[in-house]
Amino acid sequence: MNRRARVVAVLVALGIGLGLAALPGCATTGSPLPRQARPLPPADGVAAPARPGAAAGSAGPSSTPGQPGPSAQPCIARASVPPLAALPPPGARGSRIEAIRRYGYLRVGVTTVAPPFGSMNWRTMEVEGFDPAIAGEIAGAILGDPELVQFRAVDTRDREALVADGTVDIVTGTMTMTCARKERVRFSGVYYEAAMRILVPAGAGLRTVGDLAGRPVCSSQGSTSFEKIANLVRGPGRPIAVNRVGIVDCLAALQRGEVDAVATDDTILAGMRAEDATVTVLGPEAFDGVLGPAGRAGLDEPYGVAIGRTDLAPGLSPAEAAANRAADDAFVAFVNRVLLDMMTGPTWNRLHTRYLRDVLRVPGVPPNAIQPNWPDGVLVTGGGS
Amino acid sequence: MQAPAAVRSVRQFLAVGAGSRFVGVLAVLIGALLLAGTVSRAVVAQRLDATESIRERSAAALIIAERLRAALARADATAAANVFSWVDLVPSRPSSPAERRENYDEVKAGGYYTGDHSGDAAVSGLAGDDTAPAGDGPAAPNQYSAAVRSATTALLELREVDPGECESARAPGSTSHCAMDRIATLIPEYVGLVAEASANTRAGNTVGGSYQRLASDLMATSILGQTNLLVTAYGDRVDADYRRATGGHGEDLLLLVLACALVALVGAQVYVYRRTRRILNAGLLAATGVLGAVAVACLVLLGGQQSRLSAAQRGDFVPMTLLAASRTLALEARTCEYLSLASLGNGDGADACFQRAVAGLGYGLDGRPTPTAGALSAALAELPAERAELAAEFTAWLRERGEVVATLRRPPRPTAGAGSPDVFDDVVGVTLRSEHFDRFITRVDGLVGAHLEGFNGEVDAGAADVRLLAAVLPIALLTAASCCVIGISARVREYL
Repeated sequence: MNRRARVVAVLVALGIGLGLAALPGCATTGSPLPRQARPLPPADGVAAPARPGAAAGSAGPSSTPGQPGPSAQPCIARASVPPLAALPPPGARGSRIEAIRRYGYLRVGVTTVAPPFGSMNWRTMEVEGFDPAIAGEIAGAILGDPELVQFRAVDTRDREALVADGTVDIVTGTMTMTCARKERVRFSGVYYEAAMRILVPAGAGLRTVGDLAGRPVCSSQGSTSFEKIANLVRGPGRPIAVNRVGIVDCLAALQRGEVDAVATDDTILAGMRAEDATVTVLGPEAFDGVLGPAGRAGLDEPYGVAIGRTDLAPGLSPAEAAANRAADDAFVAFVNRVLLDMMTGPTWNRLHTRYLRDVLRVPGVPPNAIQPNWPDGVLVTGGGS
Repeated sequence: MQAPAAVRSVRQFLAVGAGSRFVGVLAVLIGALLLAGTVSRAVVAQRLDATESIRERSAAALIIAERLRAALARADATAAANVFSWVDLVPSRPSSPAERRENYDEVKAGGYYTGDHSGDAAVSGLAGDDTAPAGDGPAAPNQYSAAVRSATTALLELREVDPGECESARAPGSTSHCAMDRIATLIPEYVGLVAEASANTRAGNTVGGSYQRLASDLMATSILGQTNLLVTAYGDRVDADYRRATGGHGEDLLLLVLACALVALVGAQVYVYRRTRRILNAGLLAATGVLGAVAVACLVLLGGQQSRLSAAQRGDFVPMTLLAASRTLALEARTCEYLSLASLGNGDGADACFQRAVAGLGYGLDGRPTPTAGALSAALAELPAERAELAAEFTAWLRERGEVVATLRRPPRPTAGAGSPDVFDDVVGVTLRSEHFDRFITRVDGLVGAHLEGFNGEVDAGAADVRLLAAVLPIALLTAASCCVIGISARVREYL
C-alpha cells in the first residue's frame, strides 16, 4: 500500500470512528410517566353502590317452594303474630333472644337521614329519633339497658338484605310492612301509621298529582313510594318516577331543580319541611281524581320492626326450618309484647311527644287505636289514609 | 465525441494551474464548514429548545397539573370532614370558657372547617390579616379556602404555561385546553355544593350530607378526571420533549458533517503538503485542530446534557411524579375515609373508594404492601433513605383507620359506666386528629419540592451545556474558516 492510500485509509477510519463514537453517546432517552404515577382508571364516585338484588322497586325473592312464608293464609300486610301474654323471664324467651343476650347487645339498623324518625346528630354524636328510641325500648326489654344497642345506618336499598342476612338483629327504619317484603323478613305489628305524600316547592302551583304530569318525581331506591308513584297514574298524564340513592338526596335534587316533587312517607316529608321552609307537603286531597277512597288505602305506609327470617337459611331440613320459624315467631311475639306495652302505657306517647309532635304537627295516635286487635292488621272503619 | 460540459469545466479549471486549484480547495473547505455550521446550528437549536421546553413548558405544566390535582383532592378531603367540624364545640362538654375559645380557634383553622366563605373561589380573607404576602391578596382563612385558592392559582398558572383555546373539533391536540375549561367550569359548581353542604350541616340538616356526597362525586368523577387527563397529556409531552432533547439522529448528522469537514481539512492538508515542497500548512493545521476541538466539545457537552437529563429523569422525575401521584391518592383516600365515617357503616361506596385509592398506592388495608406495586410503594423503592419514615407514617395511618373500623364494630358499653365517651366520639376524634396522615402528607410535600428543585437544577445544567455549545460553535467554525482562508490564501498568492 502506498503512502497516499494509507493516508486515505487513516482519514476514512478517523471519520468512521468519530461517527461510531458518537452513536452510543447520543442514544435517545425518553421520560414517560412511571406506570404507577399514571392516574387510576375512572371511578364510579363515592356514592354507595346498589346492593345486588336490591334494585329499585324490588321486593326481594319469592318464597322458595317447600319453604312457605310465615302464614299460608292470605297475606295481610299489617298483620303479625300475636304478642306474648307477658314478657317471660330471661332464659324462657326463645333461642333468638337468648342469642342476643349472649353477645350482650342488640344490633339495630336505623335510617340516619330521616328526621324526626332517625338521624345522626353530629353535635352530640348520637343517633336520635323515634325509631332509635323504639329500638332502645326493645333492647331494654331484652337486655335490661336501652343503651346496649349497636346502630348501623341503613337505607331503603339495603335494609331488607341486612336484616335477612343477619348483619343486624332488627331494623327500625321507617320500613313499610308489605306482603312482598314478608317473603324475606318478619315484621312486628305496626308501631307507626304513616302514609305516602308528595313534597313540592311552595308557591309553584303544584297542588295535585295531575299537576305533576310529565314532571320528575323523586323517591329513594328500593322504596315502596317509588313503586307507588311509578304506578299511580297510567298513560301520558303520569309523573316521571326518578330515584336517588337515599331519600335525602331527593330533597337535594328538588332544591337543585332536578326534580319537581319528592314522594315518600309523610313522616319523612315533615322532616324535610322542617329543614327547608320553601317546600310544602301536599295533603291527601292531592290524590283526588287519581285515587278513589279505596285507592287511598294504597298510600298507607305502616311501619313495622323487621326481623330476619332464619327459616330461609340455605341447607335447612324441613324440621330445622320449622324449628327456626318457631324461634322467629317467638322473637316477633316478644317484640310485639314490648310494642303493645309501649302503646298501652305512656311510652309511645312520650316518644311521640319528644320526637314527632313538633315536626309532624298531628296528634299521636298509637296504631292499636285503629287496630283494635293489634296486630291482626284489621283496621277500624276510617283507619289509615 | 465531445465531453460533457461539467467535465470540460473541471478540465479547464485543472488546466489553469495550481493557484486556481488552491482556490477550489478553499471553496470546498468553506463549503464543508458552512454545512457543518448550518447543521450544528439546527441540531443544537433544536436540542436547546427541547431542553428548555422540558423546564419551562412540559415538565412545568406537568408539575402544575400535579399541584392542581393535589390541591383539589386536598380541598375535597377538607370539605368531606366538614360534617365533623363542630363536634369539638359541643356545649355539653365540660371545659372553661378559655379552653373553649382555644378550641374554637383550633377548629376554625383546622383541616376540616370550610366556614361559610367557601362559595368564593376568589376568596375573601380575614380582615386585617397581615400574614398575607404582599400583592397576593389576604391569606386564606383555613385549609379548605387555601386548597381551593391553590387550585385556582394552579389553573391560572397552567393557562400561562400552556396557552391556547379548546378547539377539540379542529385541533385534537387541544385536549388539555378543553380539560382546563371544564375544570374552570366545575370548580365553582363544586365550591357551591360544598357551601350548600356546609350551610345545611351547620343547621343540623341531613341534606347537608347529600350535598357533600354530590360535591365529592363531582370531584372524584369529573374534576379529578379532567386533571388526570392533564397529567397524562403533560406526562406524554415531557416524554416527547425528552426524546427531542436527547434525540440521536440530529447528533449523528452533526458529527457526520463535522467528520466530513475534518476529512476535507485533512485531505486539503495532504494536497497542499504534496504541492508545496512537503510543508505542513499552519492555517489548515489550526483549522483542523479547532474543528477537532469542536467535535470533542460536541461529544462532551451533548453527552453531558444527555447524562444530566438522564440523571434528572432517574433521580428526580420518577420519584417526584410517583410521590405526587401518591399524595393525590392519599388525599382521595382521606376523603373516602371521612365519607365512610359519616355514613355510619352504610357507605359501601366510600369504603370501596378508600380501598381503591389505597390499592393504587400499592398497599392493602392492613398496611402491608401488595404484590402489585402502586404509586407509593414504587416511590419508596426509589427513595431508600426516606422509605422507613414514609412507610411508617402511612401504615400507622392505615392502622388507625383499621382501629376506627374495629371500634365501630365493637359492642356498645353498658350505661353502668356512665360518662364513658361515645363510640362515634372516639372514632371521629381519632380520624380527625390523625397526626400520621398529616405528617405523611407534609413529608411527601417536602420530598416533591426537593425533587422538583433537583430536577429543575439538572435540566438547567443540561440546558447550560447546550447553550455553551451553541455559543462556541459559530465562533469555532468561523475561526476554522478564517484559518483555512489565511492558510490557503498564502499558497494562492504564491502560485497565482
